[in-house]
Amino acid sequence: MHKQGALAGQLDRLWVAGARASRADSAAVQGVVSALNATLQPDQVISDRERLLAFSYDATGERHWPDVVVFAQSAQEVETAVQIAAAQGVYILARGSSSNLSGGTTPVLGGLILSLTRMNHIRHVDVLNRQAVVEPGVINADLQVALQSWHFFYPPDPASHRISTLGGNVAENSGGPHCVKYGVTVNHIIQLEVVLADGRRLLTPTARDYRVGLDITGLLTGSEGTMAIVTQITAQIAPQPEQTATMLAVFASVDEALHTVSAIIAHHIVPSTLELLDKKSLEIVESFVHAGYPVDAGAVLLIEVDGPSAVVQAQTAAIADIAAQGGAHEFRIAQSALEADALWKGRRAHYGAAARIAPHLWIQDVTVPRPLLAEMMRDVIVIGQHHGFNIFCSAHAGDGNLHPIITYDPANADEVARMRQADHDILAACVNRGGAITGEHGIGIDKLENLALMYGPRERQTMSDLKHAFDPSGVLNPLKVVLPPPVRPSDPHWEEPSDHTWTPNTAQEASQAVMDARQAGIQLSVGGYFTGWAMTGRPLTTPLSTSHLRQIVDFDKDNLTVEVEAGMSASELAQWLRHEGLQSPFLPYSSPKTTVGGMIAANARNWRHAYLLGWRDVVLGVEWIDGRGQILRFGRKTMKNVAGYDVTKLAVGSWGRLGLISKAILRLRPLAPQRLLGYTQSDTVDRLLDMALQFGASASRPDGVVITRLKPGQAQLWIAHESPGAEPTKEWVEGQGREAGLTWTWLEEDAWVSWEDERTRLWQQALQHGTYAEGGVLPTHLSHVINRVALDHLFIVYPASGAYEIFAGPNDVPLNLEGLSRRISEGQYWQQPTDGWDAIEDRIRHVFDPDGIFGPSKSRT
Amino acid sequence: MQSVARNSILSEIDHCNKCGFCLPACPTYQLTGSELHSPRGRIAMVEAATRQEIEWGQGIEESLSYCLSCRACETACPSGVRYHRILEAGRTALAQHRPRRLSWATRQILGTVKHPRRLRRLAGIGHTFRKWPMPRALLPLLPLTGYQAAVAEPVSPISSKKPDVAFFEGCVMSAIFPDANRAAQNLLQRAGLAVVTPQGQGCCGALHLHAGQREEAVAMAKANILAFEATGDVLVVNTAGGCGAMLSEYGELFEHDEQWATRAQRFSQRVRDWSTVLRQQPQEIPLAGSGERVVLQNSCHLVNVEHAGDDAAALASSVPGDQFVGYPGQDRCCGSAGTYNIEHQEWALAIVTAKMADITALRPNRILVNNPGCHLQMRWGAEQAGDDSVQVEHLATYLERAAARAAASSQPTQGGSPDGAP
Repeated sequence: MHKQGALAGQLDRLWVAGARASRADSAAVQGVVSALNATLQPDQVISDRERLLAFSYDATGERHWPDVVVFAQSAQEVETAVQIAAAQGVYILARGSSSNLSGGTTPVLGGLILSLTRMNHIRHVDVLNRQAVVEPGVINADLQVALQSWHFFYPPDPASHRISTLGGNVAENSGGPHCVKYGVTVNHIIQLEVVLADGRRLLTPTARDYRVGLDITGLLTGSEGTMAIVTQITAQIAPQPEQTATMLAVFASVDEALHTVSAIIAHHIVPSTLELLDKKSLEIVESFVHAGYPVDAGAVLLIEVDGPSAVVQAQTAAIADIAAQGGAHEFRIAQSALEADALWKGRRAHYGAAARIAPHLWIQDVTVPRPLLAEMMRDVIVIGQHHGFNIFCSAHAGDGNLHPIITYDPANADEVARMRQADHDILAACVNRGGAITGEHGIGIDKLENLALMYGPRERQTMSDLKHAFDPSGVLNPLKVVLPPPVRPSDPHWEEPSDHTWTPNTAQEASQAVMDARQAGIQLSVGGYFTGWAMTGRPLTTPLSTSHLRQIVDFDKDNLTVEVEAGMSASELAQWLRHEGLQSPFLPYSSPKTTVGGMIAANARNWRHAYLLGWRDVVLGVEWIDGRGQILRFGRKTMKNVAGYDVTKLAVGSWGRLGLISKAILRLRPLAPQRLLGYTQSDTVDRLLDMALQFGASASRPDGVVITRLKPGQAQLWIAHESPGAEPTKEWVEGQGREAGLTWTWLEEDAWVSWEDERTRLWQQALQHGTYAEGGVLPTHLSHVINRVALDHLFIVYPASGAYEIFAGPNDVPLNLEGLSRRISEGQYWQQPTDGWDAIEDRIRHVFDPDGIFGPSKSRT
Repeated sequence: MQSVARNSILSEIDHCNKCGFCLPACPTYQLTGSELHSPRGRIAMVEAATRQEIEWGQGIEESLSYCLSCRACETACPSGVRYHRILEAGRTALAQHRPRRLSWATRQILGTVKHPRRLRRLAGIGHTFRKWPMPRALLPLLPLTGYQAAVAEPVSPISSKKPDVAFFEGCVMSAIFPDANRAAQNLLQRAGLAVVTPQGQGCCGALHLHAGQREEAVAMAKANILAFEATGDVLVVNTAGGCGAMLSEYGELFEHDEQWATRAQRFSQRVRDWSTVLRQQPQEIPLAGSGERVVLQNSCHLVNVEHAGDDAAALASSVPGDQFVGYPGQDRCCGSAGTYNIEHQEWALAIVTAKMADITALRPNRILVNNPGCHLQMRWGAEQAGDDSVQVEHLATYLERAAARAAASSQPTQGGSPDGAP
């Protein structure tokens, strides 16, 4: 046992782990220290007990001694340090600014602290490809500053953005006030370079829509340093909006304010910020910063909208009306950047002001479906009163993300105990409301035991097994995120084969069918109507179909979510949503035999929302049946959720290898009343490609962009726009066309259907009689790809993501075509190997499908 | 540590939520990326040593001694933690547990500042022998030397019944930078204020306090309080951000001294930077520039303790005909920090080098300063950067020249008083 005395206020975390974990022994630590000293510079290693104290904590406040600290200056050094520590079985914890609020970087069992603060270089900003490549130690705000001169920004801006590192943001999947419109960190991470627990350094498969293999980037984002250590981040960046309007609406009560939030959403406005402060918060903030907030108000909303100036003006006027109808007795619109800053000042000061009224404060982080936010806030007040606290809240109201604050004195043991009980009760109440116990702060050590409130033993065991798949010896950041249940859950109860069917009507029937197949040693192919099965490259075995699972399970219009069974026709769902004035970005308008589950499993491309990364940005949760017949449920109908691993990401693009997706929760968007669809054409593709790339770098860009050559010699650039602002977008696009000498043809929306049908026809024809090939490159490299494609080949290129699809004659596409990911030619299937990830992908498959009933366990080549 | 002091410091430490908002504000954290050299880390070290979880040993000594005491963390702290109290308590306890002999050079400085004449002589000798090889022990003193002050003619004083402000000269300012003091006095008088310089004042004691010589500092503070009580309750103005900060915290220095607490408090409430007083004066002084680009290296104590950094920036950008260029590091410590650039020369150089890289990119003709330590440090930085085109100058001297230029051009034929005073 490495002897390190206990620190004041230290909780005994060892009992949580039972006999499964202990600190590394001192000989092992000594070995690591010697090896590190032999390799690195003296100022890069700290190993004396006293200096180590400064690395015993993070912003959560608990303290535990680490064994050694290393300041890595390069990815190679991270590799070296991980190899040295892992060889001795010494735990490894990556650390940035340690501003996290869940204990993610607290060395509960000691170990090696791998400080990445010196890896703080912005390597590359590429506005045409809309990405920035950075080291993990770069501070979020520093990236924002660097992007400003390009008129670009990186949307996720957690409250800690001035201190937190991007590596930390990735580890925690950070949110922030702007994610109501732009999404959280995971929606902007394209690729990671990581060092695995075995010391290997690898690039993750891209998160873009031409990925083959599993969404490891998505799974690792938010994994809190327990699965891999990030050494480089490729982040998606966006052009700064043309205009931003900042508003403050003042209400007599929280209820009025939250009704107004619902009304804004119901009016199909998606603000870029929708923040709430309650009465006590206002009093505290105002006494501290004098931001000009009314202290006699019950609540205020800080609202921002951004976009083309015409849209911003219309939305600002609409919000002013909505707020007035909602009972706002005061409504201010900032007339200048300075005034906007003043309105923000109060919101930003919330934490600090709270910190000044008591020796210590605890900030909680729960998320509920947005329409339940008022109820959740009432729960919090009642719980506070019960435990003797006057709890006050700020909320990212647009996301249903609530931050109750409890102030207390750490020296008062009774108060600390009551605080912990109140904390637990708040989490339980949030789960009762269908929420997630953490929206953006993470599980860490803080909520480790409370994860069971949200996830049953089977889900927790699955998460724990996934951790094991990445880190079999358990050296990375131990006792964080998830603990397996005390006893591994047994397989679901199986009886003699019932008169089961391969087209189950319920998840239970599907589970029964999977168990029957497992018992009988039957190989299953899971799908809807199997229209795209050729794309899997696997023979069709016994088909287990979702085609009878086609109910809408839950439609929450105010929350902008829908939960559907996986066999539901995607185009029928799209039609149905259109009648409600809503849309889900990737649903097609035609092909009734394409199911929602199938599209998710295939991560199907759709160019109308070209600047999203794909289905991963839309699917909030899934229910799926794994190879044991277990019915697992991951995710919630909340906009933010970082409770446990984001297992849902694995379903997207899983191609039926991990089980049968039985239900999915989708995020919806309002469908603007005026929409845009049109094209322009040219005899040279490069000209269109250039224009599309310029579009991408502009704030005025349309939502969707694609280039087609569906007939030889006829290249077309298509654009679509379904967000507000069809008219200004159209004018802008036409202006760009005039400059380039191109004219636009505008079509009725019905043209969608024929567009999609044509693509489907070409695709089926290529699969049956020729070659279908697809892949992806950096958008600026698409030109090289196109120039290698024969003149008579037809193709579709996606200039926003860099994806391409080629429809050609037999054996006409060379395997060395840049970025080629999949080629199907005359029954021959080829797929790009997932370099270095095969073993981990196999282990992940084994977690869900131990007997390989959804396909052989060796990856295809 | 005494149990009263122990409890008082632990309760101050309790206010630290370890949120980390201080990290980007801290120059040594920026330099090292190490928690040990961050405000949050230093607080944690003092806490642990106070709780006897670690020794008052080498680890905490390293952590605390490399702190610049620039106080930028206090401005960044959302919880209002009074970091300097924790630091000082830590340093005091450390001095008891682990007495440390200051370097010869620092001891010379701490001794000399009490004797302005000796200090002036040292600066003068330094100028003469600058180009000659120096004994190793003297090398750290090099940055102190070689400044040639060109003191402006005094403008005709305001003849008023009683003074409007009492001028605090400061030891280094009066010995090495008398030009800046004179310039500030001239400007105040141009703005219509009667300035008096009380007898019996001396060094503010900041260097001693920060070097752990509290008793020396207390004695100096008493002398100053006495000297300025003689002038009545007028504002006490000075030209050095570091001294201003110390003077404005005499109240805190004596808070447990029944006899002096009120007097010290009263004195501290009177303290202002000259730039604050000048900026608030309704009478505007005509200024004229000469087409220069200027940047400001603000005194961190002026910014973070007196909270008057904006006044300096406002004045620096007020000269028509010159171009003031702001930059993000304008308020960030230059690495001078009292005797820091002598005790920790390597780090001080690294900090000023990084700063010079930012500044050089802006291609200024002039770097304006408002503290003697910063003045010497920035000259050293410019020299190290091999940039001899840029001048380092006190803000007051710069403004006084602009005022004289404006006065001269408005009255080209008259040789009389250029101040325009009534």
